[in-house]
Amino acid sequence: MKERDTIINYFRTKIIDSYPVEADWNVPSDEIFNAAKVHFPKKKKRRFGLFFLLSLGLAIAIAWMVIASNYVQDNLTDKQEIIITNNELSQNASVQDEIQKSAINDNPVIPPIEKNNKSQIISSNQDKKEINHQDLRSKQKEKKTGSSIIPLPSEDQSIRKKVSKSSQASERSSNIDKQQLSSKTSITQSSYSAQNPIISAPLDKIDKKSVTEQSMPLQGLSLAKLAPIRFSQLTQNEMKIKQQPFISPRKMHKWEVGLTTAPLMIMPFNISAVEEEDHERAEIKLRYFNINGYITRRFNKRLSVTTGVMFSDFDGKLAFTASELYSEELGVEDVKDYVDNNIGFGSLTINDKSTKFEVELNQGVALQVGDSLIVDGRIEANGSVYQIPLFFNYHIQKKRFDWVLHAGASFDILDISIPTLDFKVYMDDELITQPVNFPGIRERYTDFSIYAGGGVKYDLGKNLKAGAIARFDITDLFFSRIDVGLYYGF
Amino acid sequence: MPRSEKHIIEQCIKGDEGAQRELYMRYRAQWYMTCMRYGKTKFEADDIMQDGLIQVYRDLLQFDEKRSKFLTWSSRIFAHTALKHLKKNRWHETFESIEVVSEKSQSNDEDVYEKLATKELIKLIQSLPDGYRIIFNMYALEGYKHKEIAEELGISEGTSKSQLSKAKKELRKMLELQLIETSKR
Repeated sequence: MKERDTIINYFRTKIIDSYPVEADWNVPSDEIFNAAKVHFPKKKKRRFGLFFLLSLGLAIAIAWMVIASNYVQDNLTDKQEIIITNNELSQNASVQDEIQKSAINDNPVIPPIEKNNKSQIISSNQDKKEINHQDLRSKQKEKKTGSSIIPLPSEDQSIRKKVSKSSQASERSSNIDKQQLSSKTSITQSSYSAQNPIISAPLDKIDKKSVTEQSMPLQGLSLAKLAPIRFSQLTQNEMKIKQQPFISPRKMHKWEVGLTTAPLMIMPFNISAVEEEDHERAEIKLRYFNINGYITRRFNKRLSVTTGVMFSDFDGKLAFTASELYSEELGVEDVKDYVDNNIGFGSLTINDKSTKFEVELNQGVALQVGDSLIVDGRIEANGSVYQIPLFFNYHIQKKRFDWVLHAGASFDILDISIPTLDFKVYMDDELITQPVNFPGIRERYTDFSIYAGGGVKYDLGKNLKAGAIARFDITDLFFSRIDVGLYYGF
Repeated sequence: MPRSEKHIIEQCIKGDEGAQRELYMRYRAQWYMTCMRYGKTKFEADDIMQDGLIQVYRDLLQFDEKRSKFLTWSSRIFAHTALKHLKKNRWHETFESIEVVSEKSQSNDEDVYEKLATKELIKLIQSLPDGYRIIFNMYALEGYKHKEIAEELGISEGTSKSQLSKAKKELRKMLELQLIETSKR
C-alpha cells in the first residue's frame, strides 16, 4: 500500500488535484473545438427569417388583392350609382344641361331599325302589350318583395324637383320615337325587368308624376340619357354584363364548422419508402392518421378567423441494412461512424430528453482493417399530437369557389416515444455485437407551430362546402399536410 | 460578472454558443490532459478530445450536480471516449501479454519527484503500453475500483491488478531515469 501512497498519490496530486496552468502543451487547438461544435446542441431555430419573408409576401399579396378588389368595387359602385340613384347626376346642373341636349339630339342618334329586326323583336303591338302586362305584374311583385331598386331618401325634396325636370327631359326624349324606343326597350325586358320596373314598363305608360313620387325618375333619367345611345348599341350580352351589379352575392355565413382529415402529409421524405444504394438499404414505414375539427368566424367578405382541434397520430418504423468495411483509413464508414451518423452517438433524443445506448462488440471479437461488416438497425417511434390552431384567413369568392389564404399558429401538445431499438453487426454471418440495452424513451411536451398555406372550398349547397386546404408548418415540415373535408355554414 | 457553472451548463443545453465556448475554455486544459493520458500520441489525444467534447455537450442533460462535480463527470466521459477509441483501434493488442507479478514495495524519496513538471509526468504516462496506461489512468487517476475496471474493460480483476502493478513498476523506472537525466542537466 505504501507504493499507492507514493506513486499514485504523487501522480494524483500533480495531475488531478492541482489546477493546471494553461500552456502550449496542454491547450488543445481551437480547430478541435470548432470541429466538435458542429455536433453540439443547437438552439431551436424557429426560422423567423423564413416566416418573416413568407408573412411579408402574404401581406403584400393580401394588400394587393384588397387594393385591387376595392378598385374594382369602386368602379362597380360608381356605375351602380349612376344607374340606380344618380344623386350626383340629378344635383349637377351642367350634367342636366347635357342630358337635355342629348335628349333634344336623341333623334339623329337613334339609328333606324331594320324592318326584319323589328319584326323579329316584336311581331305585333298585341305581343308588345302582353309583354308589358307581364312586366307590370313582375313590377308589382317586386314592389311587394321589396327587391327592386333602392329608393331615394324621401326627405330630399330638392333632388325630387331636379328629378322632375330631368324626367321632363326623359319624356321629351321618349317622344322622339316612342315606337322605336319601346321596341328597343322591349329587348331589355327579359334581362332587365326583374331588376328595373321602369325599364320593364313601356315608356308611353310611365306616369311621370307617380314615377317622381316613387323616386323612379332617376331610372328614367338614366334612360333619357343613356337609352338612345346604349339601347341602340348594346348587344344582349353586353346588357347581361351590365346586369352583374344587380346580382346579389352568395349568402355569406357568419359561422362555419368543418371536419377534415389529411390523407396526405407534406413531408421532406416519403411516407413509405425503400431506398437502395450499392451497399445499403433503408426502409421507412409510416402509418399516419389525422382528424381536425374547425370553427370559423367570418367577419366580412374577406376576413375570417379559424380555431379548433387538430389531432394526429403516427407510428413509424425505420429499418436499414448496410454492408461496410471496418476501416477508417480507406475512407469508408466504419461501425462507429455508422452509429454516429445514423443514430447519433449512441443516444436518441426527443425534444430535450436523451437516452443513451451502446453498441458493444462481443468479447474476443477482434476487428481487422478491411473486415466486411453488415450493420442491421431497426427503430420504432410512436407519437400523438394535439394542436389548437388560430388561423387568420383571407377569402376570395369566385362564383361557387371560396379561395382561402391563411396564416397562423398552433399550440401543440406532443407525446412522442421510441419504445424499441435494435442494432446488430454481423461479420461473416456471425453476430459480433451484444444485444442493445435500450430502455426506451418517451417525452411529453408542448410546443408551437407556425402555419401558412391556402386552398379552396366549393359550395355544394346552401350551407355545405367541400374543401381542400394545404397547411404548411413552417417550424417543422413534418406536420405539414393537405386537409380535405366538409364545412357547414350557419 | 462571471456566470456560474450551473448557469453555463443550462445555457449550453439550450444551444447557446457563447456558453458552450465558455465551458470549453474553463475546462479545456483538464479535459485535454485526460485525453493525453489515455492517448499514446498527440494526434490520438486530439481525436479523443474531439469525440469526447461532442459526447460531453450532448450528454449535458444527464449531468446531475448532486451526484458528482462537473469536472469529475466530464472527465469520466473523456476517459470512456478514450477507451472506446482504443477499443476500436488496437484493443486486441492491449492486454496481450498478461503476467501476474507480485507487487514489491520499494522505498522512495518523495522529494525528488517534486522536480518533475506535470507535462513530463503526462509524457511518462503516455509512454506506457496501452494496457498499463489505461488501467493506471482508470485506477490511479479516475478513481475506478479493480472490479469496475474489470467490468468496463471485460477483463478479470487479476488482470487489472497485474497491469496496474506493471504500470507502477514501469513508471518508477522511468521516473528514476528522468530524475537522473534532470540531475545531470
